[in-house]
Formats: sequence, structure tokens, C-alpha cells
Amino acid sequence: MKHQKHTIHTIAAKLAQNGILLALAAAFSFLESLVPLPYGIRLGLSGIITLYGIFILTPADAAAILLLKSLFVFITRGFSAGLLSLSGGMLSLFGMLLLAKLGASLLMTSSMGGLLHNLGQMLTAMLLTGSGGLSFLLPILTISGILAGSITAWIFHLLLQWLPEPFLPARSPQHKTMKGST
Amino acid sequence: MKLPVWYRKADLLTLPLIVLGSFLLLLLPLHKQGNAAVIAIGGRTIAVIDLQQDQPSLSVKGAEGFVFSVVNGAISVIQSPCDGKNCCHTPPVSHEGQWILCLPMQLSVTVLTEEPGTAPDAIIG
Repeated sequence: MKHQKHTIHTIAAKLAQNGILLALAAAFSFLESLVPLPYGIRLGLSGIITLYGIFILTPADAAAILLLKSLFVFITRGFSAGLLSLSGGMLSLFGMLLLAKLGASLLMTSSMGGLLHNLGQMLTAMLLTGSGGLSFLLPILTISGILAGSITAWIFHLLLQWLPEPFLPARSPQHKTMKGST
Repeated sequence: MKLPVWYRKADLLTLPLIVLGSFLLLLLPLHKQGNAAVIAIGGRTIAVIDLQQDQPSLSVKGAEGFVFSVVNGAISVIQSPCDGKNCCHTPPVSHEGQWILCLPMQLSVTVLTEEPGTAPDAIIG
């Protein structure tokens, strides 16, 4: 009974936590849509949630949050916006998971994630419209993706120093908390 | 998954190099000036616009709600019926291969280079 009670509490807590993260990701996505940039470039703030999902939750949690966020975008901004969010997000997530497995740093993982996000969105846009080429866009996507990813990584790194212990797994020596490093 | 290190020294060299390389690619004249723009919806061409003739406000049949502008050999979208208006915020395009997209309306404006004197003012339908 005691074990069962603990399990139910864990599932409920996980659902609540993922729900809050989904709400945050949706809020970030909405805020980004208020700042229109050319070529559909985004600030990438919801990448913070993806990084949290990858490194603090599980890849399955990160993918679920991403899918549901794309559904939110689909409902609020239409089919094409939802498809772009999904394609860019999934390519970015897979790329970041691969880099994380290979031992890349947080900065490199997030920067490449930003680049892959832009790339995924632009490839989808080309498929949807049946036109366009990447050659002139690739430099723009690269620069904006790396910059956005670097900023996201920095914000996530700062957050790690402020999050209370229950929200963090074992940390690397470079991430020190206000309460001291583990 | 265990948290990675914040950064490695190699990252501080690699990432700026990639960004710098991309900037250089932007500056290089890899694409020649275009003289025509193809307006398509859903992959179907509805108009070909001559970029050598300034048309500050241009409406095209088949692209209702859109207003284009051709100034100094570059074309831009100045009005769009979509909600996001990303196409309106895209800078004017003038070189071969450059394009502007309006995804909700599946509209694309692609710059190309036609043989001198063969680019029509517009093709409708």
C-alpha cells in the first residue's frame, strides 16, 4: 500500500510538472509569435523547455511536450504553423539528443538545436509551397539558429543555478547552485 | 540524462567560426541580380513580374488580398491577408534564388533570371 501510494504520487507529480512545462512552452511560443521576424525566424525561448526535458526529465517527456505544444500552435495559429512547429521541434530534439549522447556541451547542443530547428522549418516550408531553395537562406538560418540557441543555453544555465534541488538531477561541476555545488 | 558541461573551450572557437563563415557567405556575390519574379500559389504559377519596371503597388489576379511592391529591382510583399504577416516583414528580394513565402496562403515569390528582353510584364492565369 505504501509503495502504491508513492507510485500514484509520483505519476501525479510528473503529470503536473509536465503540464506546467507544456503551458510554459505554449506561452513562450505565443510570445514569440508577437515578435515577427523575417523568414519565420523565432527567438527560440521554448527551447529552454526542451533542454529541461532532455537533461532533467526524459526524452519521452521532452517529445510529448513538444508534440502537445505543436498541437497548441496548430489549434491557435493554423495547420501550417503547427506543422512548422512540429517539424522544426522534432528535428531539433533529435539532433540535441544525439549531441547530448555524444557528450557535447550545453552550449553546443543548444546552438545546434537552434540551427536544426530553423532548418526543419524551412524544409517544411519549401515542401508546403513546392518552391524555394536553401542556398541563400542557409547563412541566415545558421546565424539566427546558433545565436538563439546560445541565448537559450545561457538562460537554461542560469536557471540551473536557481532551481531548487528536487528539480535537478546530478549536476556537472560547472553548474553551481546558490546553496553550493553537489 | 546527466547535465553536460556548460561549454568547452573548443565551442568558443567553433561556433563563432561557423557564424563568421555564414556572414562571409552572405556577403559573397554568389547569386546574380534577378530580372523577374514568379508568384505562385500552391506551386502553381499565377504571375511573372518584371523586376526592371518599378511598380510601387501591384495586385495580381489569383493572389487576392496581396499587394506587392517592385522598387529598384527588388520585390516585396507590402500587404497580405494572412494573420502572421511574416511575408510582409521579409526584406525585399532581388537576387536569383531568393524568395518570400506566405505559408498560410501557400504563396511564394521567387526571383529568377530571364533572358534579356524576354521577361513579360506579367502573366495572369
